[in-house]
Amino acid sequence: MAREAGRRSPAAAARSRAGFAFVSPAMLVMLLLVAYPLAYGMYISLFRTNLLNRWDFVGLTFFVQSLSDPGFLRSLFITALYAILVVSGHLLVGVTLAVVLASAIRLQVLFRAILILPWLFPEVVVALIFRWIFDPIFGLLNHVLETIGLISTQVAWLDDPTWAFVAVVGAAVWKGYPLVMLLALAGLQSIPRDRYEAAALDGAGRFAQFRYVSLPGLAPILGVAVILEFVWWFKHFTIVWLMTKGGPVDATNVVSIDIYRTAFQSFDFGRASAMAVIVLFICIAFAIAYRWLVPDEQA
Amino acid sequence: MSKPSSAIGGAHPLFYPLLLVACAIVMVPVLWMLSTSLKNETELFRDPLLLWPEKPTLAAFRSVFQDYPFGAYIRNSLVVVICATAISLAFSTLAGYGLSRFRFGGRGAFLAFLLLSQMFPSVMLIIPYFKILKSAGLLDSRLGLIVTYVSFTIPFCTWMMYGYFRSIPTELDEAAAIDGCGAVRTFFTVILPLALPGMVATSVYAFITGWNEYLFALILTNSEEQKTLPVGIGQLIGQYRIEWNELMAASIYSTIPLMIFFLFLQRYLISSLTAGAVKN
Amino acid sequence: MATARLERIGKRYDNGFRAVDGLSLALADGEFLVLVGPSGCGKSTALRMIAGLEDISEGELYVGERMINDMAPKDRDVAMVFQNYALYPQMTVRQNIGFPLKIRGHKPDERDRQVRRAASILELMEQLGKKPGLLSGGQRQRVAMGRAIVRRPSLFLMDEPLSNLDAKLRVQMRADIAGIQKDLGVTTFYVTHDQIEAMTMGHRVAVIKHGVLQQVAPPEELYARPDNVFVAAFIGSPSMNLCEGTLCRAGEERWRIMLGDQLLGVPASVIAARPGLAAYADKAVVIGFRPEHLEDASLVPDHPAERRLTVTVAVREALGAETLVHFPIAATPVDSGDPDALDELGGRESSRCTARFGAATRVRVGDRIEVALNTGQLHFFDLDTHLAI
Repeated sequence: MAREAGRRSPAAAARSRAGFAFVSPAMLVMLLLVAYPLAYGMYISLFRTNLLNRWDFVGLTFFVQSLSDPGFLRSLFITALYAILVVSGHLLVGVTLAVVLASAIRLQVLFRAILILPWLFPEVVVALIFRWIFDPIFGLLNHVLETIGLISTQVAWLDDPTWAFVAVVGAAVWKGYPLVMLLALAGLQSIPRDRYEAAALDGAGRFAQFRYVSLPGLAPILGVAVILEFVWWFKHFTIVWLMTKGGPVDATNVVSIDIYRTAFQSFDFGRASAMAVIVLFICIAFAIAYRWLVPDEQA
Repeated sequence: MSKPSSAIGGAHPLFYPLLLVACAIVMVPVLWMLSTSLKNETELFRDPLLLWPEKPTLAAFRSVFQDYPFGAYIRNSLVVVICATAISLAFSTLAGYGLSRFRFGGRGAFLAFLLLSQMFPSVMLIIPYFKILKSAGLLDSRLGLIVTYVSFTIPFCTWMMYGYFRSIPTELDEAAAIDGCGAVRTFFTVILPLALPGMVATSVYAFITGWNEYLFALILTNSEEQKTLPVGIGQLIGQYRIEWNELMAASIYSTIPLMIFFLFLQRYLISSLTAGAVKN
Repeated sequence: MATARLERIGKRYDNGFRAVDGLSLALADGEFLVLVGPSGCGKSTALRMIAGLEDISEGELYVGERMINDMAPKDRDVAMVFQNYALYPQMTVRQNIGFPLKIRGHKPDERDRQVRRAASILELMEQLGKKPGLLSGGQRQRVAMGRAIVRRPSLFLMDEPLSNLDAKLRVQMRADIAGIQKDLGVTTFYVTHDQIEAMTMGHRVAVIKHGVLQQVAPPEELYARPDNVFVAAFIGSPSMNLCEGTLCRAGEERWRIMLGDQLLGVPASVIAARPGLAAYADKAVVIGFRPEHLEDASLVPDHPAERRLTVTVAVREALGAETLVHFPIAATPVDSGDPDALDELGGRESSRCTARFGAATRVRVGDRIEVALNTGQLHFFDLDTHLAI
């Protein structure tokens, strides 16, 4: 929208003041409670410190060390893998269910109510339920599998590096798909019906209609969702911590856990802050790259 | 809630089995949680496993309060989350309106910062918050948690309200201006009543986020008196012997408020997700 | 009740774009002025500047004797009817109409009296308790009018209020609005892109193109004596036919015009009535003639032969009361500058012309016929400046 030239009339100045007034409480919060801690966090990353009495300036040492530390790099890799798998799972499950719910099935309201449930469970609860289900001795999973005859002895799922990873991904997908499902549902319902009719007349079958009408129509909403979801699950802590505490043998050591342990178990706050700053830049880089690749979404 | 009309045509016969499978995957953990919470100790560790208690009992639901300061956990969560939600809602509604209607210096930067702040890993802010609250003497206090929770719900809430206000035509503001309203009056009398669905969605989001939150509460509190529900539940698992039935009962307690909240407000939530999503 | 005056009002944006340029208008008390022009010509911007919804970049705005450039909308004592009505969805009709009075602190019974008065004028008594969502388009439009008239402001501003209504309703509302304005006697600015509304409703009409005023005059004068090609083409439906022709002097008192390959005789009286025309002898000019000034020659056998065109009918539209006939003539068409007008379908070498024949005509597509041209109603314009001669 072109801005107006010429002298700034008193009316325009008054409007500008009014706008500022409306925004100022939130802006103040952002400055004091977000910008300031952020800057402070970056400041801490330049020191070897226990936040009490020891503040040794080390400059970018921790950054250099972390970026060349195979353990940290490995946890970055694990975290990226985790985020990608979880978000993909959400998209797959969420969009599929949305497509099903958006069609003329009966009892849509009931199905939708049930399928939204996982979203309402706090992450703590989800982590605990699944941990209980995966329990080697009294877990539901082992019991069911034994009854069916798929396994003969009890499996300690969360003690196996690969299965532990699968388990935390599964729990996260279970917990988080409803949000994507709701967004996709909203998006589908906003696509004009006649586009489908035109496609049908042009000879498109069900799948083609999905590919050429539904997906493009969903792209804007899902685009934003993907960015936010990836970042959200990249920095995820709770479910993984409560299920595996990053183990076994660092198999599920996502970067937030790594940082948490460095800070609050090793009390190496400076290093932990540096690691966190690196994560921040990764998230920002991802968001920028994504927007650059797919610029038509208006976030 | 919109009528279950078909957005994309008829139902494929495969859809029903698919839905049933999906519902089963959802309900099995839920029912298992329920079943576990109704078991007494002996039934809990029976071998072979009992799918449903033979003698369901609410003992776990009671003992959870006796064995742990569960009442304190609930109280803390409620106070912190309700206060943080109220503050976030108020500030973000005002800001969302201001952003959508007015041009002023710093607007672009503010919008960019709002977006950017959603990229921050929580771990990034945990350490500075720990230090800052410690210095301010707000560690291990509900006030400290409220301040913290406000800081991370405001960006997304402001963004949501901004999107929502953009869907309300500015012509209404103009008509109000011509009818004699100043900016404040226009906001409260004309526009705010129309923003209610958006405000409901925003407050639901803020509430769920706060109620859910684990990491910050874990680090910023250490006395039992101040811990929130998620932290309280999480630490039940660190015991030598985990009382799964109590754990599950506690989990049910912590999920019920969200369900009630959602049940009442889902109409607004879904319709404003639609409005916000589509207009955005 | 007040006069209003715009003196060289202009609106310029940061990127240099001028939406309105040097607009000067003076309205008498109680006058109904219509601002008309194609979409994007700046008429709505001008109206919003009068309302105070846009800042005025240049010039002065007066209501009565006060310059109100820097006044907030609520202090200007103007009322506005928006194109999309801008009704408050959460309020009933009664509350919507009464809102301006409520803001200004009128007492409830006084408000109620005024609201009922406005509602009865606009036949909204049955709808007072309803919310806008339940009303039809026409009813909503009337509620918007009610909100405007309830205050008795100095100035009415209307921004294309009828453009969202269907055709039949529009015809009726035109008359209603004109009638209300006459009864209340409030000075009114009315913006529209529909020239029929302009012609039927305004005391005077101001034609605007690209933010610049083309001509302001009573409707009849705009029709009969347009100042330039744009106004000539914009006013009147179907539009005036405009093409290039040459003015030829065949003798002392004998004049002809050459339209493509056809030569038409022009009575000396026509030339005499336009003093500047003599200077254009043997030069190319823009010639305009309205469809209603053409007739099927077979229906007017007394029409002189030298004032007839010979053409082939391309399209024929029977409307019942009249028949529109379209035909090409081999003359270069003239672009009037109206961005909403369809591109000439005839191409560079031939113009597509329209004629309004009486219902008795029997021409068919493909017929080669003679068309009688009322040369007394010819319009001439300079080829370069497009100004009327």
